[in-house]
Amino acid sequence: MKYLNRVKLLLTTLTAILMSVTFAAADLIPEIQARGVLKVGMAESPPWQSPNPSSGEYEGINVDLAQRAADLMGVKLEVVPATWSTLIPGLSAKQYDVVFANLFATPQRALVVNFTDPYSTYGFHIVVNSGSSLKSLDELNSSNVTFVGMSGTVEESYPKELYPSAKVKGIATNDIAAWIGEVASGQADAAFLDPGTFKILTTQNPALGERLKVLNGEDELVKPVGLAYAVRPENTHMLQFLNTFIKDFVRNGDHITLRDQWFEILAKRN
Amino acid sequence: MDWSVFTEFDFDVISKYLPALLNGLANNILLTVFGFLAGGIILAIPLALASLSKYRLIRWPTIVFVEFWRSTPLLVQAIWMHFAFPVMTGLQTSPFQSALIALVLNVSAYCCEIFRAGILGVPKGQFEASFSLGMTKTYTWLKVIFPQALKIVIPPLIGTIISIFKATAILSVLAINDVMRAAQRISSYTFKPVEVYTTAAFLAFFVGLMITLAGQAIEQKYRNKGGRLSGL
Amino acid sequence: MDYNWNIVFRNYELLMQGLAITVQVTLVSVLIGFSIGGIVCAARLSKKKLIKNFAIGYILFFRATPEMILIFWAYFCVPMIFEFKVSGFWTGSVALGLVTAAYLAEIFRAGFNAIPIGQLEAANSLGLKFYVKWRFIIIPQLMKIMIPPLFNYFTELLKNTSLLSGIGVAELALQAYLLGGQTFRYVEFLSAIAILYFLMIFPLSFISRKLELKGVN
Repeated sequence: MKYLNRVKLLLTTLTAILMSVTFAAADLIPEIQARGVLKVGMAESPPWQSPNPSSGEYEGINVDLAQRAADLMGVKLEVVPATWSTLIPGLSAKQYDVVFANLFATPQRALVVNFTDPYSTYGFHIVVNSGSSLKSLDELNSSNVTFVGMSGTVEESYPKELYPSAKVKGIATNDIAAWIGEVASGQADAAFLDPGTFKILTTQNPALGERLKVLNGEDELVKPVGLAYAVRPENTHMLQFLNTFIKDFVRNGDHITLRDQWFEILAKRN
Repeated sequence: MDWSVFTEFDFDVISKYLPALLNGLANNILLTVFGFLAGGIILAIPLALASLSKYRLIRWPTIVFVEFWRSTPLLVQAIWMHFAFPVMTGLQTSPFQSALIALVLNVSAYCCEIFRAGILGVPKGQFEASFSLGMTKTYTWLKVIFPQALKIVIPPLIGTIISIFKATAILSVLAINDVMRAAQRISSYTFKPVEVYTTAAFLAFFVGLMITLAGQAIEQKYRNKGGRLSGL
Repeated sequence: MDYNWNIVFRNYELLMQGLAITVQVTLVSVLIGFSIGGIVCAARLSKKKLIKNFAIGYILFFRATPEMILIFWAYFCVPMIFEFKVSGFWTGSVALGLVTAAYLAEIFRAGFNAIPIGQLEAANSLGLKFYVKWRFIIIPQLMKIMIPPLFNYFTELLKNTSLLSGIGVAELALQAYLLGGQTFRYVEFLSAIAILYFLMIFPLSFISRKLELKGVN
């Protein structure tokens, strides 16, 4: 009997150790704090987050917010650069702890990662060439219309969703000016463009802005979606922390303040 | 024709972001040098020797490797290195590492062929003569064959440098900080693609020109010296 | 590490479309290259300094500048300047065509320079007409000298078509990248196109080297 009790004790201890080990492994926050560094994966998308062309340092709305999160945890911030295609796989591969970016919480991505609650929403303008005959949004659903957008992003997938008859061209380059330039020069007919980027564009290069025409004003933006951050599915504590963090700054209105601030900075930057 | 794009050329944008472009260009040059030294020389010579080995077990895998890396585009190799290799092995390399590895392997395959041609180009008689004079195999290789092979090898080898430089621009797809990426970023910030890409093209052409002219000068020198069996 | 090779076969059509575009780009570039290359070569061999220097400048520019940058520049800046709607396929192919012309001009020139002057003199002294001279003396020898480097360059050109993926031309490399991105099955698709490229390029490269060795003998 004593022997059996010993075995039970051993098994229970082992299980307890194993469980605590797995739980500890899953609780990212103490791990980050022990490490002293919060690693955040980011893909380039000004003004949300992107490297300043002159200094090379990452800057933007999400960089500020990531810094805040790191400060709360009492650790340093390290931005790990990634591309839009490698952003999610890199998270799964544990190259970084979380992803802070203007990520749209799509169902396909949700199969692989957990999304936080949305921290911001924005909708889209649809821009066409200023010489174009298109005047209203409904005219866009025709096979004569070609949309352009960066491949892998929602600017490419939403036109397919909303205007199934139209053609969509995906561009592989990260350069916004490049694919908006397509609409400006008449290579493509239309594109989804968010209001902030449009403001930056028209301020930085008015001549380019004049070649574009906006079909819907800011009061009737198309397909407003939520942007969210992403964590690995097993990091539930981190997810909860981020959600609380997000709720907090959304309550303060920081997400709007920061967003407007950064759009202003980039528009004025010269 | 809308020449306004050029008449209203915004030079301020260029002067502000020129350092960023030059920084990117410096990375291209660094990659070129590293790619040439690591791939074109350090890796290529053993590969060439392996491809001439009398052991089929060494020769065949080497030849397959070299042919494969010569017959596929660098773009595909770089993307494969960064996206497929991690899935296969679980090792995720950073964009810079993937780009560098793909470049070095690509260059080594090319230069391996050059060294092979060089070694094969040394008249067979040299081997026999050296052995009959009582020189050991190692001595023969080092003092007799290699110097002569070098003369055959150097002109095409120098020629590959400009190709390597041009290839580094391809690696921008992996988001490394080269001149193309810098140009894309600046264009995204300023929405002035014409100014930015034109400047980038000129800068790259300038460096390419320097490399080409230097290469031609060196090749001329060797063409004048070559063709003679000196150095014995 | 589970591979799903079936997915490559299921998307066979898209990949074949990509392959077709790759081949088309190559053909257009070659056509442009031959036509403009011939002109540039003639200019290069001309005695008039202005024309010769222009040709030298052209050749130097298109051989020293990275193709990637040329293709991007052409695609994004040409429409802004010239204000007409032109697809990525055409801007990319023309850009590659201009580069091809530069390389071909040099290959042609090497070919011409290698024909012994004595032959031309003999032909002239025999009173051979232009057409006969070219068809039976110049061109056969040109072919022998030029074919190895030509084949060599074609392999480079085929590889450079992959650069057009950056400007959205749906050639083979872009198809694989997009399909890989959609399905997260990069290994399968990228390996498949690597094999396809190899099957296209290796034969050319092999023939080129065999011909070169034959020529040496």
